[in-house]
Amino acid sequence: MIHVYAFAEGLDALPAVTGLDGAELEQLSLGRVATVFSRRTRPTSAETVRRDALTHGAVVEALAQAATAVLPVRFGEVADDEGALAESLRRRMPAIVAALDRVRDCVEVGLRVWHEPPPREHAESGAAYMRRRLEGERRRRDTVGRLHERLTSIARDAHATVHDLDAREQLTAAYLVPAARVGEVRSLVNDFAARHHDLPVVCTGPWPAYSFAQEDAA
Amino acid sequence: MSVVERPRSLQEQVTLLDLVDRVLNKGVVLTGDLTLSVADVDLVYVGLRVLLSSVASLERGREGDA
Repeated sequence: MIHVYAFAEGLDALPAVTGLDGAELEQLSLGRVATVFSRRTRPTSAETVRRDALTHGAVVEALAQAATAVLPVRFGEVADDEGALAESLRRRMPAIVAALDRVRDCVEVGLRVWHEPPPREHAESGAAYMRRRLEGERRRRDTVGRLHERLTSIARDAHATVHDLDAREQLTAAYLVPAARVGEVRSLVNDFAARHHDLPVVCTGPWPAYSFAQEDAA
Repeated sequence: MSVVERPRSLQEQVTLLDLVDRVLNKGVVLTGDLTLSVADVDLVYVGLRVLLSSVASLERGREGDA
């Protein structure tokens, strides 16, 4: 069987990394799109899923460094052989090309914002506590919302989940950012983290555009 | 010494969580024509386990800070 990693455009040479089970990477080119895969004899098992998923991620990452545009394929997609793969891709190619156009020159930045609740002051009454908590929740929602808006104005596309006010994680978001503007995103997030100690942030990336790969290619 | 290491460890935990979440749940889905190769493995469970271990280490980091 063959395991598919990603679609790539502008790939001069395959990167010097190995795929699942140490197999060498291969490519199937249709028009300007290279489908990168490797061969294997056994499927992923419960014992190997963690390692296999990380290997898949490392291959996609290496492809993103080497190509001008990369569309990651979800882990676990396999074909019987190259013929079956080519057959499946032919019909999908217009959608895959459109999705590659959408993510070209962009990277994905992940953002998670938590809430660190302050310790309750024992002297205050129940009503005062509830009032203070409600005000805090409103302020947090505005603060996190403003950060999200500013990041969205830089991004070409964004997916965000704003969680319940009571949840520990306040915002989970992915931004499709032009590679040239990642520095702006970084300084906005750093500035936010420096100002709001009750809202710890973790910003990850730049990632290949996993969260923006699907829509048109489905 | 461990104080210096803690934020990096949180960043690393969340980065791993984000990576596994992306690899397992995002990306182009071809299934329908092709088959999912992952035999008898509940990918949601794997992703959740990483999330839980990430949150657990976040909690531990916080307690250590206090």
